[in-house]
Amino acid sequence: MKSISPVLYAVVWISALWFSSANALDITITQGSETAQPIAVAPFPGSDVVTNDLRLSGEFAPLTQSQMVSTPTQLSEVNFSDWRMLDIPTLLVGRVVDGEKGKMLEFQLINVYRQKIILHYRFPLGDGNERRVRDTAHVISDLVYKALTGIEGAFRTHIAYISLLRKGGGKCSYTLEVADADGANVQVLLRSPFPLLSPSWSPDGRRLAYVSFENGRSEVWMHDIYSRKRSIIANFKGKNSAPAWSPDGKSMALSLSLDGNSEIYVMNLKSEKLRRLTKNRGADTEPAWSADGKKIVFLSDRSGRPQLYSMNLSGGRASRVTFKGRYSTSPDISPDGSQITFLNGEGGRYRIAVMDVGRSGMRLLTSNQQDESPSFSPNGRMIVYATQKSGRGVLEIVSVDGGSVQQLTLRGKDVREPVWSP
Amino acid sequence: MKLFNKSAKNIATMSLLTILVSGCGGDDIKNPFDSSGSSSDVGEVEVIEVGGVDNMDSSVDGEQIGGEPIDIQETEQFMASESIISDSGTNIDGSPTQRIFFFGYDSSSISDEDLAVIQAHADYLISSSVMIVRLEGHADERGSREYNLSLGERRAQTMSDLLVASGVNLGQIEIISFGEENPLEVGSEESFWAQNRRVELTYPQ
Repeated sequence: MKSISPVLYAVVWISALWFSSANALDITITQGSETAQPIAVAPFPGSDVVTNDLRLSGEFAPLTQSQMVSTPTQLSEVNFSDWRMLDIPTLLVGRVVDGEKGKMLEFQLINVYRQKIILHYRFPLGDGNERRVRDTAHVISDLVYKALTGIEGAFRTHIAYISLLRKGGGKCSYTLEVADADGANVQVLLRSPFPLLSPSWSPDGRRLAYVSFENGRSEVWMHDIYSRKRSIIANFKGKNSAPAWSPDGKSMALSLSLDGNSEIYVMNLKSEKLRRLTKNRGADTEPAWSADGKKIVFLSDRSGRPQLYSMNLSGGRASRVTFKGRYSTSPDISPDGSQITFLNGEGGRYRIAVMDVGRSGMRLLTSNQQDESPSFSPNGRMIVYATQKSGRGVLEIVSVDGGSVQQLTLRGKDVREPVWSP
Repeated sequence: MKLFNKSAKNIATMSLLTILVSGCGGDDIKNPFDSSGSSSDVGEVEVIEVGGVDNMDSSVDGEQIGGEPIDIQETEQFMASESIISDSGTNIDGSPTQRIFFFGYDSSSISDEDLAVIQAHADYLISSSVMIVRLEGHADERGSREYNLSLGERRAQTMSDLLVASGVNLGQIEIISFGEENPLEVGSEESFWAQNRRVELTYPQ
């Protein structure tokens, strides 16, 4: 049986037709997965969003509409041979129906060969505005993804990042922005003429901590993305940087140099009390919490070169985690705690790598020159990071098996420091 | 250090989407994965009606991340000082003119020529003990931004240690690191990177 889904190595430009390009990241698939499952999403309001989500996950190869012989909207309209002929094992159909309280979006996920319904849902559409339709479509994507892969989807998540516009004359505009994981609905939270870096999400997804130079030096701020209130977390003497929220939301790990050297501290957010974790002459920074909140992985150059170390929150010695390569920084731990992604530097090249916790050895995930700042998706299946392409800062999302890569760009600006929401 | 609430300059009123009243058609909301696979015929899978807020995250029915961005205003802060790279001269006030010192890749060690100039700065500071010197450490763009903040800081710290060792009072020295965030030259080649691995020394007044 010939597979309908060829290896997608062509560059496919996903143009943002349904929203203005001024407030969206353009997404390009630069490498497709060889193992993507074929699927067909017949047209319905929001089906383009669902199709896009499934394709961007790297795990599905949806049919294009021009390849479809028919476009059913419900089970009774499905002619199964139309889909068997295209080697499509799974079909998603949908339509708007009238419910007691207004219009609803109804979808059915169908197993073509067994002619069976896998999922059947109805969602209220409210006033049917575009945002509502998109959000509902992302819920559908999550349900379909979970039903077919067994893994939680990440389609209702967000990516926060920093963008830089060089205005000429040495003037810059830095912005802290949040977009949907498919690049849509960019919201600008903060604009500053001074550098911003190191955004970090709170575990409830409602706040971002970040480093700002607005007062002439590095300070850590906290920002509620809904209420727009912001406040200073750390403005001690020296460097205040690398904020990382604990999984229970009660503490923040930081890299501070108030005692004369860059060390890892943990601040209790309620009492504001600081507890120092590291004490050595190397520079210690970039803390990342384990999923259970009991360990911190961080970077230290105490051995002479930056490598990753792990230590218990309760104190004690740090043990080294990375051994291969001359440069290992920027750790992020997968939500299930089984993997660490980090930045590996070797021979002047800086590339995103991933390793299994507790095992030596690592895999390089990109073939770029200057990557930075990797961050896992909340289902641990994808990693977003920053890199340079043609002299511009762009974001890329790679699947954890390295099979598929997408690029997210913002016209006229550099994008960097991405961090995936919980 | 105090935690204080700084109200943003441009807080817009947030518009909340109206939270929809739960509108189930009477079906219980079930975990869909409990029932999947149990039916063998078309049509026997129950329709699951999703009511609204209770069943889905607030991102569907609830708050919007929206509204006006907060704008930080430009201030005089980052006025580029007249950084002079090398000039063995001395200003009228007695301070050396060279204000920038460069470093090798991943290094914070200082050349002999620069050492002599730094010594001259130390002499100047000792002679005017109310003078404050500001040491700004920088790094080139490669690798992690946070580690580059540490590298910049270490370079400034090295210079500070030298000044102190020459007799300057620690209280006269201010250290700041900008990491890779404030490059002199933007570009992705060694010639640009070399220009950015530096400490800039200023006498703020």
